Amino acid sequence: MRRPHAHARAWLGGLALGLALLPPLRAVGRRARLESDQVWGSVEALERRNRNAFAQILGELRLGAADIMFVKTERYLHGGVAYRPHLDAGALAREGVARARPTGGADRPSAGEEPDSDVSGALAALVGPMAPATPSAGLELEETEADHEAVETIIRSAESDFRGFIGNLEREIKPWRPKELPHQLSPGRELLPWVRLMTLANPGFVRAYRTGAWWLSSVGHPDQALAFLDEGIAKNQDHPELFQLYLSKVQVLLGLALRGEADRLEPALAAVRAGIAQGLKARPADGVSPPGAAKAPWSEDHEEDLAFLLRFEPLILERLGRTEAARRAAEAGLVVLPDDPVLARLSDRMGKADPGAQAPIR
Amino acid sequence: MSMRSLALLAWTVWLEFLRRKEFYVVVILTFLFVIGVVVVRLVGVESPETAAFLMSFGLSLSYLLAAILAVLIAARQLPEEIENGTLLPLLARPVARAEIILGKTLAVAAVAALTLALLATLAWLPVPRSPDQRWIVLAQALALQMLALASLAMLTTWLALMMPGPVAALVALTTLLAGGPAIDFLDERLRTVGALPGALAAWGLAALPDFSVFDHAQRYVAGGEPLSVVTSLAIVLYAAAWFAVFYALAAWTFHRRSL
Repeated sequence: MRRPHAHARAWLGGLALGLALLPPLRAVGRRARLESDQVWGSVEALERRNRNAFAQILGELRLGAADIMFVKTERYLHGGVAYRPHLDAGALAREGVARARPTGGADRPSAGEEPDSDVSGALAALVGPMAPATPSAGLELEETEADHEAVETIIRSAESDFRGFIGNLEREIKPWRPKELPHQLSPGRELLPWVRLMTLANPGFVRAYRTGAWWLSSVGHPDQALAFLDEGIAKNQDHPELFQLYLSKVQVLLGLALRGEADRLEPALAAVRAGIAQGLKARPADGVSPPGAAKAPWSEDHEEDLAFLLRFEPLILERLGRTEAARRAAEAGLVVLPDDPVLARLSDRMGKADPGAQAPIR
Repeated sequence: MSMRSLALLAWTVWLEFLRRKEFYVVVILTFLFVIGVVVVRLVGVESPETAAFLMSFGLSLSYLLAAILAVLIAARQLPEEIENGTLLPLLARPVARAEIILGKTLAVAAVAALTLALLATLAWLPVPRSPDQRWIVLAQALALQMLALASLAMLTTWLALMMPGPVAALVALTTLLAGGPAIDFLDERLRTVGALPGALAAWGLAALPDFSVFDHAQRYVAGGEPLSVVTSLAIVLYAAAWFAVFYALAAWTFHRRSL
């Protein structure tokens, strides 16, 4: 017969063993769960994760604190109007459905837009919305006329709503604007605390860092924007979308360079090269993933952001006066994206590189 | 510890379940699901989005209801027997207190697993499936959820020995629903404190129960790939580890508790 102390030792030993095994086992299970929910902070992951039935039923209650805050920022941005977040601006622009008039908002040049022949103009066209505002600039954004006729909002139209009179009642009492009317953007300062909280709740939320940096830059705090992006870069070294943080950093730095701070060009060049390296590492061999790809999707937005980085490198090098390096960079970019019209135009304009010159390091 | 004792204890729980007519709860839930099935069949499912929503809703609801049932039954098992004095005759027999805990909890877990299987089947049947949705992924998801229910039942059994039944049920359900996100949030925050303190604190947090690692129903709905053998095994071991931890704690608490 075992002594009572032996029983106690056995139980305690079992307890200790169990507790020791738990952390590594949880790490494996959690990673599998994250893959199930595709929790990578990307647009697609956000939408896929929130397609869970209870998330849809409970509306703005999302599966994560950061997601809840993201919805909040959309509400603040659109003055309480519950449109579907306009996160896929690139796709809307390519499809030609929404034709937003730029007001210093989050629009960016489309993939096919060609830069001016002048370097400053080319850079300005690509930097676009990330150009820092002067400190005193407010954000009284003009009313944006946008044709949202064909955009599906989270407010169901009567024709597509299975809820019948309940849906009609909801549309009557909620403070929503009809999607046919132009929407209005609010000043962005209220978003900044939410963006900060988002990154605290989920440091892997790359989009939050980018959005926050954009807003900080827009309200005249570019150095804070850079610091915020550096924080995001430090915390997301393994994130497949890390290169997008470098892209945002490049845009802020180039915006400052265009305002006359020429010492920002070298850091911009370093950032663009780091971004290209990370982007090439994350990019699948066959480029854009097919629709419905379950794992690690590489979307057209990702492809476009990588394209921006590849275009920035030769432009920055040219502005620094390193024309030969710029030519090589343009040609190296065309190796990655042979059909990119902007890189092709840059390469033609810069001429052929000297065969003996060193290729840019990738 | 003998299998015969465990089986007898489990059988008494099952008989209690029938005697108290708690199975009516399962019957009512089944009836409601059947109504849902009929409605879906009549109304029809026209778009893949609606089908995905219904599938996700049905599977999530099945898991939630099975968990609530497990928690409610487990929470009243031992406290009620202690209060009614029906535990003393049982303890007079050559049955260890730890065996009583294990037998009763396994029975609760079995009832919850059966309920989950029944409701999930009813939720799955009427909804059109997409070619990406593989049965192996669904089977994996359900199996892991059943393991989670077993651990949850044992957790509730332990809690019920220390606090009133309704409170124990509430704590267990809160752990099920909010434990994972809370751990994740604290884990992320603690990592910013510093390398070593963050790692130690994160290790400590990982020793808290995270039931979210068992829920992979959305993987099936989204047409994802099955979990690898290694990952599945790790999650099974995680469930077993927590079951063992809660069992040890429950047995120790019950052993020290005066009747």
